[in-house]
Amino acid sequence: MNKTISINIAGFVFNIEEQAFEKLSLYLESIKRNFQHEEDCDEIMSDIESRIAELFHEKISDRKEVIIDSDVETVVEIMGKPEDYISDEPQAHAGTQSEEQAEFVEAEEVKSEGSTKNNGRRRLYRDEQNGSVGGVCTGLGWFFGIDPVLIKIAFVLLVILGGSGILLYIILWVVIPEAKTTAEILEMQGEPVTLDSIKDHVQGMKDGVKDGASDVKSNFKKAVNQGVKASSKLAQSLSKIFGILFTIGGIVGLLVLFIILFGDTGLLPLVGTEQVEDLPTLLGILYPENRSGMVFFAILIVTFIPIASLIFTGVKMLFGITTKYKKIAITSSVIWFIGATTLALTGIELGMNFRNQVEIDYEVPVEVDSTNTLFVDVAEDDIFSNFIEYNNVWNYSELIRVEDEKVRLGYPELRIVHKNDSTDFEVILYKGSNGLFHKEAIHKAENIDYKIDASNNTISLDPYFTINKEERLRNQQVIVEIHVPTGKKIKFGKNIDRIQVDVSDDYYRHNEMFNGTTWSATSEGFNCSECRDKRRMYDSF
Amino acid sequence: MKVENTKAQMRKGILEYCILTVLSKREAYPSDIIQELKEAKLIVVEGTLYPLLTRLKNAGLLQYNWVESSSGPPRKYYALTEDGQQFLTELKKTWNELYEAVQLISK
Repeated sequence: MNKTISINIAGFVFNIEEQAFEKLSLYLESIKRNFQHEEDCDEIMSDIESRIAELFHEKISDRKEVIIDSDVETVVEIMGKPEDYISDEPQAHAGTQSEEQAEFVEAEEVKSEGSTKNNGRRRLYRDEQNGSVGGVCTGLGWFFGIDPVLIKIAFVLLVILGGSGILLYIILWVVIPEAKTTAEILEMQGEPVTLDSIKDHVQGMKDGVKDGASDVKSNFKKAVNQGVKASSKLAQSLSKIFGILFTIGGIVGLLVLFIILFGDTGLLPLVGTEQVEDLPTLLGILYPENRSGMVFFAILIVTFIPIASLIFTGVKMLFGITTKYKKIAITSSVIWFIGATTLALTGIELGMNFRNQVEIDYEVPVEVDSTNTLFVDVAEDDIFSNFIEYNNVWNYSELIRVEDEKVRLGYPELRIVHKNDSTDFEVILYKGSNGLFHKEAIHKAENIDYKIDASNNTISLDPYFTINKEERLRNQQVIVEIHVPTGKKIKFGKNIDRIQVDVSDDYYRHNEMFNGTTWSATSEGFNCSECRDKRRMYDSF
Repeated sequence: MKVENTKAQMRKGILEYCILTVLSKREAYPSDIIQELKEAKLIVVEGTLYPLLTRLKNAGLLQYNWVESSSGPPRKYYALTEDGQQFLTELKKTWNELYEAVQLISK
């Protein structure tokens, strides 16, 4: 019992056995290949189909209703094998054409154990069946006759050295056609497209046997093959090494990422200290209310996907997994781009919020008696620590603390400026902020909460200033400027290390050495007494 | 150099001439033409004929009529056009010259 299929050839319906049908459609497909580049292709094919219909018609009678295998074989015998249908383009390729035909005639007549000579007409296709992403590398491998892993390594190197590999890959992916039909796959592999080879290939795929190279090999070819095998082994071990590196690198990256995103950055010795607020909190005081969650998610996507694919690739290389995960690759690329776009757009939006800068100044009244010395203290730091030395803080985010609806910013600045033209101390408080509009920036600057106590020859500065959380971080700054007339002195008291001090643009406080120092304003500038070693202060930068 | 190659090339060279000659005698459909060519051992399989006919037709040397058939789809009956006639005359002349040249050399 055999299954039959109903087919229509040249307007006639035939019942044909499944096996015979497969043979017939392979036959027609491979004939068509010979003409496919000619404009008459359709006409020639329809003529041939008409004739086949006629021949089938002769085979059918009242007692025989079905076209069987042997009928198709008879038709092929009458019509000729696909090899016989060599199309000739009389002018340009007359020479090569006749040679090719001669080769086919030869092949047909010699028929050495069914193997035909490789006619060497390789074409470049993408091999999606065996490839990992788009089959570009595997296709190139077929084309140049080398192990695709070597090409893949070249691409990876291009990606590492500047990332051009990704762009190149995408371009090749678009440009190179995919090998879809059996005939195209054979062409890609450089095997001649004949009825036999197509049949063999289809059979091979059915049996799950991956067909190797052509049987006909000269000694030279064997030598080349051995070379390729050796390099393939090298490539395999390289692939393993890269696999291990990728996997380890990826896992480390993943750990770092998760600690930064969700955990305690204090666990990372180089990146931060336990002082730093976690990323969601920092985003929450930077981005508008409804944005911070989205931004966090986008950062998660944009960082996680490359790391995950690194691990993925590494594991695949390490264990020689050849399964393709094209859908996953495409989906995650799309998601990555969406994430990156989100980041870019929200980044631009955030940037707009810094457009206008404003600085407001307030005069702080101070009274200094005949000692002519103003003591400058910094209040106890209950938020950060008295023991934080401002100049050892590398990262401003270490000096941000979020408490309920308040944000404490631990980086006020103190400037000591020499004034020749006045006789009294002046203390000026500057509050600055950025904002989307000028007015908004003013509001934000005004809303900065900073306390200065001035009494009994002493001013006491807070080590931090405070903003409301809904104000968001908009480059808020606090600067206290003390104008010192000639002949008067400044003496730094306790905790002065806790804020950034800048004396007359000449001396930048660098370490604990400011503690207890006195600076007298003379007509030539400031003179420091009790400074242990002035030179050291410059050098220690 | 294989003798088969040369043989195939020689056959191929005169195939067009032979097809035109067959059609100069009468209208014919591809199977008829192939019959004659087969008898003359010029062609072995039918498939080769269809592209040739189409090409000659597109070159304006042949024309065809559809004729209903009792045993299948309608058939294309080919005939020479006037151009084809002229073309054939030219080829005939060349062929005769070639034939004589070969005869002369072979003597």
